[in-house]
Amino acid sequence: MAAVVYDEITTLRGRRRRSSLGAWVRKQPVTIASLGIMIVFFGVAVFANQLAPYGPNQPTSAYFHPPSPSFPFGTDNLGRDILSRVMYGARTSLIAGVLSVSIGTLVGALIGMLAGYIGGVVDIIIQRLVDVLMSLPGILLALVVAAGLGASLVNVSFAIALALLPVSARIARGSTLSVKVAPYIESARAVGASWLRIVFRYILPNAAAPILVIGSVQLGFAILAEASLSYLGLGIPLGTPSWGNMLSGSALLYIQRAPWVGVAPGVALTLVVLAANLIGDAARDSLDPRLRGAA
Amino acid sequence: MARQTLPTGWLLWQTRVSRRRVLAGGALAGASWLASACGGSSKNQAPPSGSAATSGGVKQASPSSATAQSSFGTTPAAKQAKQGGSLVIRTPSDPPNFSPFTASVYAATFANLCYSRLIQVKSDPSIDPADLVLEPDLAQAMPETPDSTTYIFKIKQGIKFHDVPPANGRELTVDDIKAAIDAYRSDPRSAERADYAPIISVETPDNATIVVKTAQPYVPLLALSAGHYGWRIFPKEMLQGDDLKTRPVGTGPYIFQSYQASSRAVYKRNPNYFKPGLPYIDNVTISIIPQDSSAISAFLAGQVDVITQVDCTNAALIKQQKKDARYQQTFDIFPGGYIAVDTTRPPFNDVRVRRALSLAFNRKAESDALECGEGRPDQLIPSGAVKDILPIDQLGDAAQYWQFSPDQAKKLLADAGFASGFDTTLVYTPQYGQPYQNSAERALSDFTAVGIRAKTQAIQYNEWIGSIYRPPFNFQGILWGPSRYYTDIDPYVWYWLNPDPSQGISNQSRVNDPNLLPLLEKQRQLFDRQQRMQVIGQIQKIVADQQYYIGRTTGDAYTFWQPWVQNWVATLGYDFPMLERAWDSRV
Repeated sequence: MAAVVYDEITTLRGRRRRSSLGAWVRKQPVTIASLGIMIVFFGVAVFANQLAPYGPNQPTSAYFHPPSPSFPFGTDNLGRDILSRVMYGARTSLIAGVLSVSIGTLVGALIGMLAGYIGGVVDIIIQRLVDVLMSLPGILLALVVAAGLGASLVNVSFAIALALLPVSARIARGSTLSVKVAPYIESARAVGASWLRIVFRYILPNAAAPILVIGSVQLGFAILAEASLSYLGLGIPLGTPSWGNMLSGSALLYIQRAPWVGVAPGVALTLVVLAANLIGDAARDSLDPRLRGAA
Repeated sequence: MARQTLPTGWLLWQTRVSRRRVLAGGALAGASWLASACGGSSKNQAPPSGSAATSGGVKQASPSSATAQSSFGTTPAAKQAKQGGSLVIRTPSDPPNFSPFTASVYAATFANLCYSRLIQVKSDPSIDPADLVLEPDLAQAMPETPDSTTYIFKIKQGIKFHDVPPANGRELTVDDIKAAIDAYRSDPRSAERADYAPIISVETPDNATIVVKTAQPYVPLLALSAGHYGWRIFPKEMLQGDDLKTRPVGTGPYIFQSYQASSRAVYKRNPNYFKPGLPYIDNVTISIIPQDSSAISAFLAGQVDVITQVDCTNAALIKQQKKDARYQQTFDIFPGGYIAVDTTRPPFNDVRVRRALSLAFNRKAESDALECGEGRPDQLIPSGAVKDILPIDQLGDAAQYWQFSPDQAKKLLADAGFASGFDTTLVYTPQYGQPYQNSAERALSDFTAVGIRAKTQAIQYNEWIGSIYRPPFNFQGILWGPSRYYTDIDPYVWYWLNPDPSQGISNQSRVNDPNLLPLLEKQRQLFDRQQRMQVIGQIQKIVADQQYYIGRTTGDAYTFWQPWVQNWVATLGYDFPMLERAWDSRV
C-alpha cells in the first residue's frame, strides 16, 4: 500500500514536473530558440574541423563566386569558402567571447564581493578604481588595451575582460552589501568562520544570480567587441578567421562587388548576440522573483 | 472631463514594446535583408564592366596591358585656371610625425606640400610618372657640373618662408639651404643620411650659390634630392628642438594650419609663394580614412576629391558608378613587394630554406586573386619602378626560384633538415591597407602546404617604422614587405643590401655579403646608364641566387580624381608635386 502510494506520488510529481517543464517551454519559445541557436553555434565551433567543407584559409580559383550549391555562402576575393570560414570563425569569436566574459565576470565579481564585504578603505579604493574604468566607454578601453598588448586571441580576450570587469564588480558589490547583513552571516561570524569562508560559502551562492545574468548579457557585448577590434585591425591577426576580421577585411573592401562576402558572418554575429541577449533576459526573469510570470 | 479616446494608431504607438519583441522584430528584418542580399540579382552577380573577364565566378586573366590606362583623352580642353576652391585628398594613415628627417611614406605625404627643394620631380599630364623628369624649383636652373663630383646651384632670390613662426615670412638664404642639406647628410635624426653620405661639403661662396661636392662620382644625388625624401628646405632655426616633427614650415605652396589625429590635416594657400599665380587651390585637406571601402564611398559621394592606390577590382566599380571620374593607372606600391627573412639565424640562414620559401609562393595565384590577373612576378627592384632592370628570365639558374613548385620546396626543406617543416612568425602592419594584408593572408596557405607554419603578428605602424622596417629590425622569421618607390635605383639596393645599419636602413634580411658591397659602391659612380645597369644586373643575380629577398608580384593601381579637379596627374612618389598647378573648376 505504501509502495503504491509512493509510486503514485512519484508519478504525480513526475507528471507535475513534466507538465511544469512543458508549460515553461510553451511559455518561452523565444528562449528555447535562443538556446537552440547557441547550442548550434557552439556545436559548429567545436566540430568545425569535421563539418566545414573546406579549410578556413584554403584558397580556390573561384574568386568572388556568388552563393551556389558548391559554395553555399559564396567565396571571397581569395577564393575561400565563406561557409567554412564562418564555421571556423565561430570558434574564434565564441572563444574570445566566453573567455573574456569568464575572466571579466569572475574577477569582477571577486573584486566586488571583497569590496562589499570588507568595506572601509578597501571598498573606497576599489570603487574609485572601478570608477576610473567605468568612465571610459567599454569598447574604447578594450581598444586601448588591445593596441598596447598587440593582436592575439588571448590579448583581445583580456582587453575585453577588462572592459567587462567594472559592471560585474558593481553588481557583485551591491549583492554582497544586501546579503552580508543577513542573520545567517552574523551567525557564521559568531561561530568563527573566516571572512574567506563567509564570502565563498555564504555570500557567493546568494549573490550569484545577478552575476550570472550580467554574464550572459555581456557575452553578446564581448563577441561584438572582438568583432569591432578585429574590424579596426587590433583583434585577431591574419590567418585566423573570426567574424570580426571577416567583416572588416575583404567584405568591406569589396562590399559593392561581392555583398555576400559580409552577409554570412554578419548574420552569424547577429544571431549569436541576439540569442545571448535573449537568454540573459530569460535568466533575469527566472531568477528575479519579482519578474517571474512576466512577459 | 470625459476621457479622450485616442485613435488606434496612437494606441499602437504608445503601447510599451518589450525588448524581446524588438529583438525578434529585428531578427525578422535581418532575415528579409539576408534573403535579398543573397538572392543573387544579376546586378550583383554580373562582373562590373572593364574588369577581368569572369566565368562562373572564376577570374580569367585579361591580357596584360603594357600601356597604362588613363582618362586623359577624355579631359575637356584646358580651361583658364582660376584661384580658389578646395581639395580633399585621402590617405589611409596618420603620419608618425611631420619631420622631413623621417623616411616614412605618410610623413612625406603630410609634410611635403609645405616644402620646396632645389630641384624637383616634374609632374605634368604629358609626362608618364615612371619617366623621371627633373626641373628646377628653388634653383634658377639645373645645376652646373664642372666635374663629376661638383654641383653648382644658383638660387632664386626674394623667396620667403611661410609667414608663421619661427620664420615669420623672412627671406630664404643660402645658409638655410646649407643647414638643411648638412642636416640631411649628418644629423642623427635624419633617416636619409645614407642617401647623402657621399657629400663631403656644402659651400656658399655667395648669397645666391650653393656648391655641393661629393667624395667620388655619385649618380643618385640629383634624383634623390628631388624626390619625396629629398632636400626639403626649412628655416635653419628649426633644427633646434623638435618643432620639425609637429609643424612643417618651408617655402612650399601650402602653409600648414592644423592636424587632428585620425581625422585630417588642413593647409591653406601660401600667398607669398615664389611662383607667381601659384598655387591655384586655396584650401587643401588631407583626410585620414583608414578603410579603403570608406574612402571609395566618400569619393563616390563627392566628399573626397582624390584617392590613390585603388585596386583593379574597385577601380572597375568606380568607373562604372562614376563615369565622369578621372583616373590614371600606375605601377602600384601595394600589394606588390617582397619577403624579407632573418638570415642571421635558423632556419632562414640556410639558402635552401630561402629558396624553398620562394618556390612555395604561388605568384600566379597572387596575381589572379589580387591584381585581376595582370600582376607581374617581381624582384627586390620593382619592375614597374625601374624599367631597364634585368628581367627574371635573364637571371640565370636563379630564375627557377620564381617558379611555383611546392614539391621542390619540400625537397629543399628536407635537404636542409626540415623535412617536417618548421614554425615561424610573419610580421606585417595593418596600416599598409587591405590588399597588402590580403597578399600575406593568401600566402599563408602556400607556406603551410610545404610545412612552413607561419603565425602572423600585426605591428602598428609607429612601431613598424621605428624598429621593424628600419633598424634594428626587431623581428625573427618573415617580414611582409610592401613595394616602394624611389626616384633613383640606388636606394632599392643600397638600403636593402648594405650591412652597415646607418646605410642599409631597410636591410631587414640583415644581408652581409662580401660580394655585394663593391658592386653597391660601383653602381653609384657610373653615370653611363648602360654600364650602371650591368652592375645592377650583377647585384640582381647574386640576390636572386641567394634569395636574400623573395620577390612577390607587382600589379597596377589607380588614382582617381573628381572631374572638377583640373591638371591633376598620378604620381609614383609619396607626395603631390602636381598640387601647386592643379585647380578647382567649380570656382
